[in-house]
Amino acid sequence: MSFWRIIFNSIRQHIGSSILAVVSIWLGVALLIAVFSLREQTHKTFTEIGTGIDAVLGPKGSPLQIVLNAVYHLEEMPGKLKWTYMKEVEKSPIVVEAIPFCTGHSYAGYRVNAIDRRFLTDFEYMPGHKFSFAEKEGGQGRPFNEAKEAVAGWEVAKKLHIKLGQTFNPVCGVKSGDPIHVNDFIIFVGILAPTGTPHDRAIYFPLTTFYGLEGHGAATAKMATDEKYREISGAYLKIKRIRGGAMHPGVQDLKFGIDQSTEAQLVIPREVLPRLFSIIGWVDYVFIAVSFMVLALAGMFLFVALLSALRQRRRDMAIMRCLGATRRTVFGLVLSEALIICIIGGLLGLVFGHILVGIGAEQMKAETGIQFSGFYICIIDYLLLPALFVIGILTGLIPAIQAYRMGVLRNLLPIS
Amino acid sequence: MKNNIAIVLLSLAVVVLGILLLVPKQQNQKNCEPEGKHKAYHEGSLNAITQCENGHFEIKVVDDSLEGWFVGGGQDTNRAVRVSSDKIELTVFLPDGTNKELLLTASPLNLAGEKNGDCSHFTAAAPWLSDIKTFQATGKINFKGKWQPLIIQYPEGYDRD
Repeated sequence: MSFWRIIFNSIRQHIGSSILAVVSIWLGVALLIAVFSLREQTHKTFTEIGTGIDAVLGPKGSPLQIVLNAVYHLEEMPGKLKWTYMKEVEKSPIVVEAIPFCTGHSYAGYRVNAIDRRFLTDFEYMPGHKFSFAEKEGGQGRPFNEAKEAVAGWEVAKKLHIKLGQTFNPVCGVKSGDPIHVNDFIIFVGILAPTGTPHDRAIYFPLTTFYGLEGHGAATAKMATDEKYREISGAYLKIKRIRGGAMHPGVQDLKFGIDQSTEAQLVIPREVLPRLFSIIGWVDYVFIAVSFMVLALAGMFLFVALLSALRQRRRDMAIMRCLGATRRTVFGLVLSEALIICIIGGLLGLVFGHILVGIGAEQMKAETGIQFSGFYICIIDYLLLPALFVIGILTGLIPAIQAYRMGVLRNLLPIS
Repeated sequence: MKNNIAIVLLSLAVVVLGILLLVPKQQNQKNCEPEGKHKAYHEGSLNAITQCENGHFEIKVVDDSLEGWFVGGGQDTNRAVRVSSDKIELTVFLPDGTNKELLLTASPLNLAGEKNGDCSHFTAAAPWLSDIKTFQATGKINFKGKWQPLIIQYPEGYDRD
């Protein structure tokens, strides 16, 4: 009987505990893969998306809140900003472009942002990538030209089954129960091609539409015509680039100047997002710690299963030794059994972990706007095989040593 | 007994493996300021006005021009402090033992709503500035409503404490 055949038979003899050990390792590894994959993808997505928007000019308040609202269409803007102030900032020689926007409206749970038309035509949401309406890329229609026209992000259009020519009434607010602008019918004239960014999760209409919505009052309506009174939620800024594509270093002086004002601040998403990760970082560690504990439990379970299997097979081992098997052979048999169970469980966990991320990706994208992929290779994928070897050896070592030191004569006696 | 020890060792090994994976993430703190040092927001040199907690004058020399910002004390070096002067006279002590006079004029930060006489930003230009790498300077400034000595050590910065 070959070495591998003996191992296979041994596993079959205690199939119940072997399957349980495989399943527990499988689940531990799957959990680890899912946690690390989501963690890395979230980090990557948050830091990369920030590259399209060099800076956000916003009102005084929490910089994190401004980034979450302006870039990720979450939260609410802490206040308003004067249009004239934005125009002053735009005059700075290092500001290439300023795209004003107004947030605070919604439709069917998605944000409706009033924004300058240049956002749809000129703005690069990521370096070298502008919004597209081309059908071959998944878009439809055109940018808005008139006051009562709107453009839907790809994700919104897909979820709400939006068709060109369809109308909607924006909600004045972002919470359920906020009043609806019942007499304002906005028509969809375009659907953006998918970008894989949170911009897919919003609806855009012109700034003039925002000021002219019924129920906003005379003061707001006046903002449409008189720039002196006009207010905005903020503006996306494109900063001049220097050699190597880096942002002009003068942005820090610009930020310093704006931050000293009483009405505005300049927020650089790339600086704010690491703070977000430092705030929520402990949640990551809790998940990772739980995953490791599950894996540790799986390892211990395997260890106990191997020990009990060894006790049951003491006589078999003694007979094998009588038939010519060396001490090293029985040592190798037990260790290989542990390694095989670990590797089978680990590989199943690897596949299942990625399937888990893939299945959850759609749901998480709808909730957070972040594009996740089940095919993303994270650090655990690289470390998995060596780690499984280590766990296999650690769990199998002591049972293997016990098998190695087992007395032949004493164990030849029938167990019963 | 042996089995119990083995279980404990096994658990420890898995925990150590987990910690090893996490350690590189913990060390990503290169942006942290060295302990006891304040951040020069404009990457210039911070000169404490009498004492660190009171305020700072951050200066930066590029070619033949000098820029200076009055900023807060302690960790508030990202907050401008406006002064009522529109000119500051400095006596600059050069490494070769000679002295020079340098006049800093107010250059209000428009976006902060500053104006002459209520300004935190000052500039000066002199051809000899581009020739020197290090200097000391003294002057006086009405800072936070009180005339206080202004001592500058460039590029290392001044802090009496």
